[in-house]
Amino acid sequence: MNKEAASVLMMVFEVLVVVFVVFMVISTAKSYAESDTVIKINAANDFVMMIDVLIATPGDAVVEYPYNLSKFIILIDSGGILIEKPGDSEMKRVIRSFHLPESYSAFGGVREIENVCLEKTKKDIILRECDTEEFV
Amino acid sequence: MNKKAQFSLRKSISWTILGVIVTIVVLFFAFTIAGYKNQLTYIPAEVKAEFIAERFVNNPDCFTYQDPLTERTYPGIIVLDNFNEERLFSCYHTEQ
Repeated sequence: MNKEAASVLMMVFEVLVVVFVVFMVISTAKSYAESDTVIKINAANDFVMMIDVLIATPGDAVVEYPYNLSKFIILIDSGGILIEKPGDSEMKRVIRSFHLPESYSAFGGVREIENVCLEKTKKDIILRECDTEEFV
Repeated sequence: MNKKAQFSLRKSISWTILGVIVTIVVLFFAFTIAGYKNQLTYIPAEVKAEFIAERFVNNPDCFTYQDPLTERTYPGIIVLDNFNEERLFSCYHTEQ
């Protein structure tokens, strides 16, 4: 191969490498910018704090999560909360734990529901869909 | 060393340096993005602790006084008889 052909080939290779690196960087930034991961993490942290506040509330109470969670599946049990999007791999799930007093229990789940409520009834914390006229 | 060999050596060194620089730039970018994400989801530990601690002075299953007749809870008023380690572990129950 003569020198000119080799140098053209090298230039093409360099351009391909640069394009590849730029593509990787942009796709990483785009995946973070889509922010579903951030929404999941913030929602999970919020639910843990809401449960702590419900435990601290004497008597029964209901609280509605103020944001639209229609993209997510949310499950709760006495050990923690799990939030994921349908089809998410295990790595993309967000799990947060909380500690209930003895004899308290938490349960419930919602799937792609816009309005999600946490209800405390006696010693049970229940995750459910909000009733349409509950907070009117 | 003849010119051809010198040229090849310089090319190899250039590629190595370029590879290292590109790797550093990509890693820096990845860490910056991850740090930004952590900033968006950061909650101060004091805030979490405050919410957990609220139960001790508001929940009658912890230390708070509850009138046995009316079952009214008096937030902020602690029953000294309940203010012990056993009650604490029952109120903030962990696997450990």
